[in-house]
Amino acid sequence: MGHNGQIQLGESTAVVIIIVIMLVLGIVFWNKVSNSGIMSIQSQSQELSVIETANTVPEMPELKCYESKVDQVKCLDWYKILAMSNATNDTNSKAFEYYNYYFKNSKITVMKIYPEEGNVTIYDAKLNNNKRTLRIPIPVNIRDYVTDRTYYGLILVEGYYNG
Amino acid sequence: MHPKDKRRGQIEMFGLAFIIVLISIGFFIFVSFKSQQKPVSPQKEFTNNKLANDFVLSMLDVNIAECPEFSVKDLIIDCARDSRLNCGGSINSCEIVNRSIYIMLNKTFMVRNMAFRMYSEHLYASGRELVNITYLNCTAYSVQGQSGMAIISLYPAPGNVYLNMNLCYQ
Repeated sequence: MGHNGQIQLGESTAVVIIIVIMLVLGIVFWNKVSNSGIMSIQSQSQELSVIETANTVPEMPELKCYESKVDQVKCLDWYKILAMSNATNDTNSKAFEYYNYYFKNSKITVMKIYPEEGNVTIYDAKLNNNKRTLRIPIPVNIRDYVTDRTYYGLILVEGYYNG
Repeated sequence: MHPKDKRRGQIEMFGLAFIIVLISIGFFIFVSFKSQQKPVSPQKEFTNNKLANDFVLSMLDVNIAECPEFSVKDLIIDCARDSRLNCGGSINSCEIVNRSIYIMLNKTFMVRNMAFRMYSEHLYASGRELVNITYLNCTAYSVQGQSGMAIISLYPAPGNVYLNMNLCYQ
């Protein structure tokens, strides 16, 4: 084996090095893409869970105005809101246990905005040590049947999640 | 094989390998850029959709602070027709509508730093459209996000008033 053999050996080594580099790049890249994909699926599923809660709250008969129809603006009865807040205030109560099945790790607040202001928390899982909070505000009408007034307000659904 | 042909064959192989390496690097770069593009968050899309749509519809039924016997819709109709109602002394319906809408917008969108543009059509006061509120430079030429619209009939007078709410992407 002379000079030619040395050149061939150099070529083979170069080819092997290039293949190894490409393999390493491919593995690193694949790892990154699959990790970000898993994270994105996880975060999307958490977001969808909060959306589901946000869609459920204004449709609950426990909160809805009695004359609400499907095509109308979301309307909540102020006195039903107060009653639900009282019922779920105690986290050991049966009512809290019942709503925990629907609302899970979330906090739901009804905010009266105009013409008067006031907040009522109707459910709170009280998971303060979680890092991530997803917030969804939904505009609603809040009806007070005693004074016969309609207020503008928001339902604020906050979902607590790790990560 | 002639040594000259062998040398040429080697150069061709290197050329081919070089092209393959270039294509692979290009592919890596393309897929990396693609994977970095964040998909639209379902939560953000849902929230913006709800806020834009439900805001214009739900504020119409709200009773006004200055004259609780009337709703925003009643005062819009009055403002569009002949502006005869006076609430809280000398303030006319057009002024009160504008003020009430601004308060609700402030406490819904401005506190959340959301760029929006709310405007009316066919609701004139002092020769110009009554409602034309923009926040964070959201104009008709900005990148438009979700939108909502309410149509208010002026019956028995002819015509409709349109209230439009557009969110902008910043």
